[in-house]
Amino acid sequence: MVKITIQNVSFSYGSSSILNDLNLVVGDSEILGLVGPNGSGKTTLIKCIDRILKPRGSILLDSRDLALMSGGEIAREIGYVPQSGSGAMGTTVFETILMGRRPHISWRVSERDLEIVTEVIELLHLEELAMREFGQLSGGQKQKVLIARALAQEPSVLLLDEPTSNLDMKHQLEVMEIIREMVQRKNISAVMAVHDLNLAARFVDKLAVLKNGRIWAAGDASSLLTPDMLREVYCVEAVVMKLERPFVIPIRSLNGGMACE
Amino acid sequence: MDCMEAELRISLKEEYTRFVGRKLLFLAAISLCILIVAGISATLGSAKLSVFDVYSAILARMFPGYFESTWFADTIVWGLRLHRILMGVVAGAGLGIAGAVMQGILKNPLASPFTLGISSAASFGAALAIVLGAGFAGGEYLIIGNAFVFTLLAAFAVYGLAKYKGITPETMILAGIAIMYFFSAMTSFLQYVGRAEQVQEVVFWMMGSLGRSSWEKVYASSLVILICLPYLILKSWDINAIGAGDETAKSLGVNVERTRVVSMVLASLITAGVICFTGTIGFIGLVAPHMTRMVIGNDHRFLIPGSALMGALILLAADALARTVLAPVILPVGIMTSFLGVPFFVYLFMKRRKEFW
Repeated sequence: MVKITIQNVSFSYGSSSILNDLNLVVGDSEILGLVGPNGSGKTTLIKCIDRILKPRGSILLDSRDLALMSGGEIAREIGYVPQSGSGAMGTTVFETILMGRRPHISWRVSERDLEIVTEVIELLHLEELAMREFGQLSGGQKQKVLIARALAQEPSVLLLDEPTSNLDMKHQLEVMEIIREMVQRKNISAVMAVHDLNLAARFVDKLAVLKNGRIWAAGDASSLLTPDMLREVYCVEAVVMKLERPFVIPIRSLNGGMACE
Repeated sequence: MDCMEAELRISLKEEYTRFVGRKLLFLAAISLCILIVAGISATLGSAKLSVFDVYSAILARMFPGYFESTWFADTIVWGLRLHRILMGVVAGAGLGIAGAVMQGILKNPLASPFTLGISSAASFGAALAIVLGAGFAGGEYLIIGNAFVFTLLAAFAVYGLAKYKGITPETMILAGIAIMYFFSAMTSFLQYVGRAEQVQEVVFWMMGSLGRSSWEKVYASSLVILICLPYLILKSWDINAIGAGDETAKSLGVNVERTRVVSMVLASLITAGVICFTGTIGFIGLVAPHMTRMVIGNDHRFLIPGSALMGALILLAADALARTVLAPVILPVGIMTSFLGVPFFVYLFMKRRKEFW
């Protein structure tokens, strides 16, 4: 079953074109990894899917056009985890996660809202941090809290913008394992911008490689992560080891020109 | 779900309920302090009355069959002192609300009616009326009308300038600073060309005072606040979400631009509804929200009413001190709010353990 359909999506800031005629599909309970060099349009595409930015073309959720849905309706279906750990200052972890219930509540916090927040806190093992100030947490803890906030929205789609950037190796693995587990357990789909190709190869179901605002290729990691792709898209000479999953070892950067055109 | 999980869930929920309870307790404590300070404040003056006399006079009018008072106490309290005290409560509350909302929607600890040029515009409106006798209303409403209209003009000018470059916290604050300097310069010019007694009156107006209060002014200010407040309280969740960043707020379904603009206009309207009657009372709009935030955090469902109560308490206490420190000379309350509030603010600032901005 197709969850998200991206059809002829383009986006530009003034005259500067960022996304050009993208077409993609994301299946039910599938993790789509967006990879590509800086400035290739990964973050912009994620913001377009969440209607934070308004693109041309259409993006369908199930078969509904997101452009025709209200902000509240979209927020009840799509949870967004931003790149940096942004939470309101002076709020506790519990309050930060409770904010994820905003699309479902008018003003008063119901028993069900508290039930969902506590469930998410348990799922992500944040019990010890629940009453701590969000601003006092480490980067990894903040990232988990922001994922928890998105899950409190009870979304059917999770959008994650480089969820492991700025995290150490342990936290990178922990965050990716949580995302994988949540996608399976809650039967949701995820679109995730990732820089680390090896993490992507290990945790996502499908990759879309972006370059200069276009889809260079989409498919499974084994077929996409090749020395040729790395040279053409990233301008990097690399070795790709064929283990259970492909494993990329970068060798050196290439200085533009024909080598990476 | 096993027993341990169920217990853990209940304990987390209970912990949050207690956490909310502590915030409500703080609001109740501040309300009680306001009642006490108001009672004490009403005893201050040349006619000697006790706190008991004061509350008897108030309750005797509200519940005639149950409480008794003397004609003397009734006249002094209801005729002379109570409207001034209530003006202090209403003005302090209004400025506290405006400051909390502006800081919240602009995500900036320095946002307040003063720093966004709104108070400067009110001062210019008043100065225009005092020095040139020109304005939007006639007679005794000349200064009030001018201050009100220029306050709103400044708010719309800030909005217009920010809209031109895209409404973000940064553009609104920069536009506010530009407006503040513009109106300050205009006021300085009027003071330069004005006669000595006119300049004195302008300066006195700019210091802020509750001495010009009346029951009609209390009703008018209260009405403006009562009209504007429900929207701001209803939008508390949205203001909370904006605090986490515009993109996060949008992803949670908040119409960020509309919330920011409407809240800004309403906060400006509240400010206008207060300072047109009192003159520019500084400090409260900036600091009352900070003081409240240090105690109960940044959840605007509690922060907005908390800042209102804290603002009321500070202004009430400052006015009581302003009337007694150099009695029988009554100092402008605007001077006293800073003298009283700054040490308390510094104390809280030094003791703070949490990160707020």
